[in-house]
Amino acid sequence: MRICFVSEGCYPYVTGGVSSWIDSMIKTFPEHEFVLLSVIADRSKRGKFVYKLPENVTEVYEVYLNDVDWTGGAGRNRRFRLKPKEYEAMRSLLLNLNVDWETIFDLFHDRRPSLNSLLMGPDFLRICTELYDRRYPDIAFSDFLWTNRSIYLPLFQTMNSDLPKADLYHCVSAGYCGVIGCMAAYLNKGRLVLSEHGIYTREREEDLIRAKWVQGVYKEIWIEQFRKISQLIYDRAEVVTSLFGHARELQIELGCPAEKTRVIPNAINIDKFKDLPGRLPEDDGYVNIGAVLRIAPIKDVKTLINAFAFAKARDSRLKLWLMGPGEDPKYEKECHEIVETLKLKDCIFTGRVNVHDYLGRMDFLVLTSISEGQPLTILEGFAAHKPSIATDVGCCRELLYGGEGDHFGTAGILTHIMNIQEIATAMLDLAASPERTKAYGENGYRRACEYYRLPLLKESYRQIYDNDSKKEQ
Amino acid sequence: MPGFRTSRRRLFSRKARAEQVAGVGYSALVTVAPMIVVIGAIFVSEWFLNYSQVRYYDRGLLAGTQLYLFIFSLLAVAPFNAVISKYLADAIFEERFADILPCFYGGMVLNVAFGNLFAIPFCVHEYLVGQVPLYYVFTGFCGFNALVLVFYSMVFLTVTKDYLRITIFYAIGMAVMVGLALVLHALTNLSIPYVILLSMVTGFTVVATEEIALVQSYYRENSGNYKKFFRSFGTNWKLIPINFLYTLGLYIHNFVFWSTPQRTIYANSFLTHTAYDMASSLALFTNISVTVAFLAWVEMTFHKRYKAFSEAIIGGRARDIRIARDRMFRTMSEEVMSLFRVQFIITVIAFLFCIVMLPRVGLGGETLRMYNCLAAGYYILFPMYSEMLLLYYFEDLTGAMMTSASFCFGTFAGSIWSSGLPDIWAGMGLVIGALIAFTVAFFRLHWLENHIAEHTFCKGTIIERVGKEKPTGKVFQKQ
Repeated sequence: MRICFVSEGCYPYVTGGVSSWIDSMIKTFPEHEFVLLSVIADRSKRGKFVYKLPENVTEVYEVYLNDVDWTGGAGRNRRFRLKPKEYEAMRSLLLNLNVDWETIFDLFHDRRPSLNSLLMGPDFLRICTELYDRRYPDIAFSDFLWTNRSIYLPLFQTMNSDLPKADLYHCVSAGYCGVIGCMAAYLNKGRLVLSEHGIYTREREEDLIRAKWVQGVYKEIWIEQFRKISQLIYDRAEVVTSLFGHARELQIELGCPAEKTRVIPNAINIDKFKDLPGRLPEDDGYVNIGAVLRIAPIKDVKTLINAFAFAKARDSRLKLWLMGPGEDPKYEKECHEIVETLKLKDCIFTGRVNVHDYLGRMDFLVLTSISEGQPLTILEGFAAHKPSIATDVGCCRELLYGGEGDHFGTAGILTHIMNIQEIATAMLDLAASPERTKAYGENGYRRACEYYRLPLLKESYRQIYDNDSKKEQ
Repeated sequence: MPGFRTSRRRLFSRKARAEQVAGVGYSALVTVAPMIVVIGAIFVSEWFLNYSQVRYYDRGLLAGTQLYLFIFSLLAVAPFNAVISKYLADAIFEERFADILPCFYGGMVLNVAFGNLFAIPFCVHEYLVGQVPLYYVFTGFCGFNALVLVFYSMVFLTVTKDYLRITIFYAIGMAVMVGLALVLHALTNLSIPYVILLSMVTGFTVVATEEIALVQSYYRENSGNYKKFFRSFGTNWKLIPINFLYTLGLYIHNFVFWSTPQRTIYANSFLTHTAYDMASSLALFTNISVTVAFLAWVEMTFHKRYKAFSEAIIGGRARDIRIARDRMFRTMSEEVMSLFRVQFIITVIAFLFCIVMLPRVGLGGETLRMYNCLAAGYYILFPMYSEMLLLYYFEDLTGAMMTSASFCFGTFAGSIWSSGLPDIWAGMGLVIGALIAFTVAFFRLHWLENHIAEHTFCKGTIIERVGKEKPTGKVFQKQ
């Protein structure tokens, strides 16, 4: 079977949880051929893979959210007008009235309109005017119009792209990659599966609420847009998976039919963590705290460093290992500056490393993210018998304290996000009682063996994928 | 939100556009003003120099030279000046003052080179075929270049609105002309026509020098960014045919009559139709007040409405925009009608004055017969030009191009037809051309009224346009 993974801003361009998951999925199913359809920011990232592609990946396609308007020959599409059916479909999209996505897909696939001509054209203006008159007659029209153009530009960019043929389109998030997954499945009569690691709509909502570049009613308009495009794949996917129970509840709350939903947790190959190198002589007298993360704002590394500084002042044995690449140079620089300003000793930025070389040396792990799905780093820690301190985001509570029917006990300490004192106290607690730390680590190990083993994940997705094979027979 | 800033900048630039339209209008006025000043200076010189004693051929040669100098220098600067004016307005609005001198020098080279592309072969022909003395030909050639520079520099000076100084420059230039004519006549044995030509050319060289010096004193920094300037011709190419065809249309009916059997040829080079040329000049001056009235009206009434409309677009609700739009177009139609009425009264008075007075100063007969129709033609032409300026206001270059093209070609075709008619109908070509163009512009403005939302909000691009096929999205294919 030819399976197309549709992803946004991750594999094979960026390392991270979702990327690792896709990579392991592809390797888990060597009997299938995989094609990648990746939504990325712009052409500057073209072909810059950070993963070695597995043997069964045969093609990679890119879709750019920021791209120029390729008009082909001079003047082509300059006076683009929508046909009546297309106009009605576009109207249904903008007004969010029972959207006729099929016509929209056909429009972009068959006519490949110039986006300038479409967005700057009279048809789009007319529909925007109608939307404005109906719902927002008291705001500045010009701002409203340009906001709508900005909103629909990335969506239309994605739909104006080459889409590979496949038997099954496996989207790893809703949003833009959900839309092109649906479009590709519609055009090529393929099956559609959605596996959400985070809840796309909810994450975008949180981003928008925090954002300063968008204000007032426009936040609402943007949020509605993300809900609208996510609803598309909730409606069309035959299976919608999530990593944990609460995420599934959110999906249902956001409009996904409950009967489609399924919880398939992340999984790891526990055997790979069996014979990790242990502590080195240089580790004597230290309590090693590992943080396997990208140096990125979403991981809230600044809080982690501050918390470590707070703890270090009380227990000089503590040593923090920040293991992972930088993502945002400015943020990374600021993190280094905090370390310098605090004159903080024993805070080590390793950069990108093979985690297996370090995990065995750690006493426990820490993760201070402000948003997570089901972090692989905690599971990998469990596989290495290491407990974790984690913020109460995503599935961390379930991982550390166990879900319904799980009696393995506590496997770490949960804290509130951005709470330096709580995180520091947790560090000191675990450092002060090695027995407890070890017990937590064992609890985590047993939990990982029971619920997060790779064969479980493989079996779940085999069932989903094989559904197609059965149909073919 | 990439589109936001772009759109706002474009909308705010309407202020600059208003100035540009005023600039274009003023340019039209000042291209006539020098004529009036020069005609005055020439009359004074001729009166002092006892010009009536000069033999007919020499007088004809001088008149032909003067006519050609004015008409063809205006035509030479017509294609590029509108683009240069637009570039200048944009540079000032965006405060790219260092880009103005590259534009000034680049435009100067373009205009002079383009003008001389035709002037040099003509001068060679005048010298070799027409047997005109070399010094006379060369002086005329210098005069052509001086006038090109005068008309060209004017574009830059209108932006500064230093009208008083421009007027002083002309006064100085013409004083130099008259003074030099008297001195040369008294101290040298040069022929009277040549003295007049030489002093006129010197006068214009003085004006050109003063204008260039003033431009250079205003804009001292030079970014050296010539590329950007020359690229603007690609972006604003429509302005080239608009301005050129309009200017050509102003004189194409004369050219048609220069090819009729009634024409006069001097030195096998200068074709003229004395009666028609004189009649068209008189008809032009009869109606010129329309342009002045229009510009005053634009500044006083319409611009306010337009500004309100622009402000509504930038930050208003849709209903505010609709109200402002309706007010603006209502004002426009009311004021255009009022303009027509006022001009009609002025034209009738001027027309009657000419009919009564001209025969008394020896301008009767054929000239007066041709004058009737031509006066009607110019009566339509100037409001048509006002409509064209309104199209500029709305940045409707397509509409302006349709208007100027229909004017030029309509006048050309009409004049070919009317050149075979009795004298009284000779000016029908201009009437037809102006009427067609007026109608085109009228309906285009009406169309704009109905499509102003699209015209305002659907211009420009939201992302960069690349005229190539989209590269494939496939970046990896397993071998």
